Amino acid sequence: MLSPKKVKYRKRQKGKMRGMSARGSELNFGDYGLQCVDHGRITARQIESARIAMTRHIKRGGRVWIRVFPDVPLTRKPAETRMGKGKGSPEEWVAIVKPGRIMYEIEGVTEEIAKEAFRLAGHKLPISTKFVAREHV
Amino acid sequence: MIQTELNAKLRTNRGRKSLARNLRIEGFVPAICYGAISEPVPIYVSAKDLKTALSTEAKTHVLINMKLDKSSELNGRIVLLKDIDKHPLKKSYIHADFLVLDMEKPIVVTADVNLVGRPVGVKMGGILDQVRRLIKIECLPKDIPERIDVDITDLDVGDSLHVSDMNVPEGIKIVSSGKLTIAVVASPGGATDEEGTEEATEEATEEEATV
Repeated sequence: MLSPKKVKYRKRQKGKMRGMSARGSELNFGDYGLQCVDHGRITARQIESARIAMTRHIKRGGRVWIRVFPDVPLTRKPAETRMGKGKGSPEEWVAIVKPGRIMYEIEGVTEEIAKEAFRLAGHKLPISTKFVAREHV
Repeated sequence: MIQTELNAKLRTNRGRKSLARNLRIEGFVPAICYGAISEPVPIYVSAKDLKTALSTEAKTHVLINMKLDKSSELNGRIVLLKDIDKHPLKKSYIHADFLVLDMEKPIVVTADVNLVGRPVGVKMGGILDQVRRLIKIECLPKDIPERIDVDITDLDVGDSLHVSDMNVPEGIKIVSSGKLTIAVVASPGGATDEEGTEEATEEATEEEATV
């Protein structure tokens, strides 16, 4: 699973998810992409799960790029713990995505295969997604 | 070289975001023209007309003849789309930059690289990876190509095509470094993910991943 090698601070504040994706909303590597339509937190497990679903469908052929990286730590308190006594311990890594962000790109497969691969991948993600193809203007 | 016309109007009310937003609601695109004129000229164009102008075979490399008030310095000048901002989801136009051209002076533009043919390596099961889709070229505005075709039929598995290997039409000079890779035919199996090899591919994917 994807995770940062080293971080400056172990725990982070929650923050807000507002606005549109300012960058990373164009296809830069492949011919087809999976673009997210909602705001959301994508965990490293979900990113990996979607990647596996995609690569299993495209089998031998094509190349996949992951355009998001889970660099935000998410903390959780242990079960049956009283409130207080400080912030919980880091449990997982998430990527914050905003509408318009291209999350995955594929090259080297037909449009039908790419569409189906992204459909399968989209089911592994907690947000709405849409299929995008390369265009010039 | 494809040339088209575009009607534009001078944008006199400026300075507030709401003015540009209102223009977009009414179906216009705020734009700016700069280059071979004394001062940049803020204009607005119809979004529909702009889409039509950019839908020719030359795509963004179309030469546009600007039609404005006759008193304007920009009227009848040839411009080239320099940059365009689009909505990340709707893909509607937000703003356009036009470069006013001096037809006698060469300019540096980016040209699309179009791969022609099916490489030998792909027939043998390799995967074609187009690493670079745009290269910088220098030429006169009248010589701007719609795209640069590159024949890749001889590429075998493991072979790569570089900018220095490209043949460009006369009058065009490549500005991008010759060492840059255009396309590679990789050996198959780069994206496969079987049960036992998940760990191995994980490392490779991390390297490929961009944030």
